[in-house]
Amino acid sequence: MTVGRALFQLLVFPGLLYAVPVAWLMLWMERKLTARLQGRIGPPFYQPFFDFVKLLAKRPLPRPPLQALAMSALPVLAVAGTLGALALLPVFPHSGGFTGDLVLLVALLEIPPLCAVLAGFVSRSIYGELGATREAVLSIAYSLPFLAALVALAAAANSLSLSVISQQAMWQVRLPALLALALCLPVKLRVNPFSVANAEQEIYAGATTEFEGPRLALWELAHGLEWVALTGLWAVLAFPAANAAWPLRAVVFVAISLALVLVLAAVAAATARLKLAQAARVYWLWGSALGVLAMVVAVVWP
Amino acid sequence: MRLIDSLVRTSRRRSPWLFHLNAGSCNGCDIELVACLTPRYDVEQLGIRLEGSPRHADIIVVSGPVTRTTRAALETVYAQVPDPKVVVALGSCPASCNVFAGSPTVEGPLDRILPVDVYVPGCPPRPDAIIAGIAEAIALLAEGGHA
Amino acid sequence: MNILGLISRNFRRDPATYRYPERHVPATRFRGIVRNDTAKCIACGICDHVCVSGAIVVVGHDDHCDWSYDPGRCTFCGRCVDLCPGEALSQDGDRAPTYARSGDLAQGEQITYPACPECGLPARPYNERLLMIAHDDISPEFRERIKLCERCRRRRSQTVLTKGLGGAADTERNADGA
Repeated sequence: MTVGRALFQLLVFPGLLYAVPVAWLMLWMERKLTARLQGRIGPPFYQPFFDFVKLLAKRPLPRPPLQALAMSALPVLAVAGTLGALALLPVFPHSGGFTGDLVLLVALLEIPPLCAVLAGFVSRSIYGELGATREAVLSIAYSLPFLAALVALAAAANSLSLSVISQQAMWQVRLPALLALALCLPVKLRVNPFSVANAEQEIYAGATTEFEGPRLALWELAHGLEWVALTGLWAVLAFPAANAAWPLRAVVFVAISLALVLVLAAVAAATARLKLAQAARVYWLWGSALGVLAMVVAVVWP
Repeated sequence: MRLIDSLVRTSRRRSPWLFHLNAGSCNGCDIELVACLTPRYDVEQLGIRLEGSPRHADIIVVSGPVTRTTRAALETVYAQVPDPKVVVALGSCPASCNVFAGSPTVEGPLDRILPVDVYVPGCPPRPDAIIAGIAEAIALLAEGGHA
Repeated sequence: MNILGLISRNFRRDPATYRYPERHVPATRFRGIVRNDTAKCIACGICDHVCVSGAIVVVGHDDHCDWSYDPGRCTFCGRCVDLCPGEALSQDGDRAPTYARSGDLAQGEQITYPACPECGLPARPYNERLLMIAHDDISPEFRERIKLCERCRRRRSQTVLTKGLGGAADTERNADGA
């Protein structure tokens, strides 16, 4: 992987230049579809963009210096981590990547939830702390199936490189693994039925309750980028055709990502929020079952 | 610079987030405000969101005649909303204490405590009156609020 | 599952939303801002008396009456309109406008008392409808008397009374004499 290639992936596609508008598009799609399913009009398509600009233009509130630093650094870290994860996605499998980028991807994808947990505690608000605790519990719960699925894929492809995995993992492993990953998406994106971490109306905005203005804008951006990264990861793993021409690959990547957003939004609109224990049980039980199934198949069915 | 200015102005107009504070209201206005979120009125078409945290808000919507117990909360919440911000008085109570005027437990009307920008009359106001009031507040917000 | 049917039906149908600034017609007999028709108002002050929130204040003076009303204080309960004896008060059929400063919507009407045709001093305003309630049949003479101020009216009544009584006594005496 050359430096130019890496910079292109980080800054252009599927990184910054692609991810930020698409993040806003996805946030809008989610809100719009939810509204339509509820018989409402919903926001116009430029909504997340204007939300972002407006929040950036608000004057931050005075805070103690250390808290202000932490509260500004955490969302920046979350945005940076997610962008890094995006850059690792092997949309064009021949374009590089390196052995072990799977490990890096997993670590980078864990940064936003980790930052959210820290943010909740740093803000010293009871709602923030409650949201952070829930976030932490859920992250333990979904990490099991999420990691199990990725480990199964790596075992099946006999590689820790994402581009190799995305092409060489067998379908009998890939299918349960993809299901397990899909099950993890709603909780990582904090949408219904697994929205207990930011439970609006109940604990206000969870970990980001105390964040205002530009800091909140960055959180919203990080959230949008998480949508792009996680649906992108799923799309990459669901579409292995190695021989397809690069425009086709790019188009299919975007199409699968957007379709997944619609599915997730529809599921969110159709379901109610599960309690923390219920949500955790779903992941420990069904998520782990899928993950273990994928792993067993990967080991037993060579 | 002018481009950024007009972009900021537009975005403020397109994305006003509300924080609703019940300062001893009878719940009538509160119900009507929530009615604005229903499919019939759907204020999300204007980019309006009802936020749970004052730190996320641009517009503070106050209902109720400001009772003695809510006054401190009102002042705290007002200080927690980042500038620019606009205050909307919902219904007759914050405007004049309505039927509670003269009560020893009432510290209103609201303009004695906070600068109020828009009054929405009604007891309670209709949802479309509330939306009209918020639309006016949005225009003020785009110009930088009263801060 | 019920919810799936619901959301798919919502998705197929058009949204139920009124697109801003489109708005729906308020219900008939909607209770909006109170208006006072000064031509009908008899300055009785019942509206002030029944107003729960003190939005209507009626202050009487020698030759006129000040009727003030602040919609910002009003509960829009409609008691004043219901109880207005002269049907001078009515309510708008639409919502009140929003306003920027407390008291911006406040309005005042002045009800000038009509001059008494005899002495020229202010007389009590009267209202056709009230007359009709009190008396089924109004003679032109009575109509003329109602326009007078209280003193002139009393004097007129006294004159009529003495004239009437005197006449009756005369007749009686004459009858006796005959």
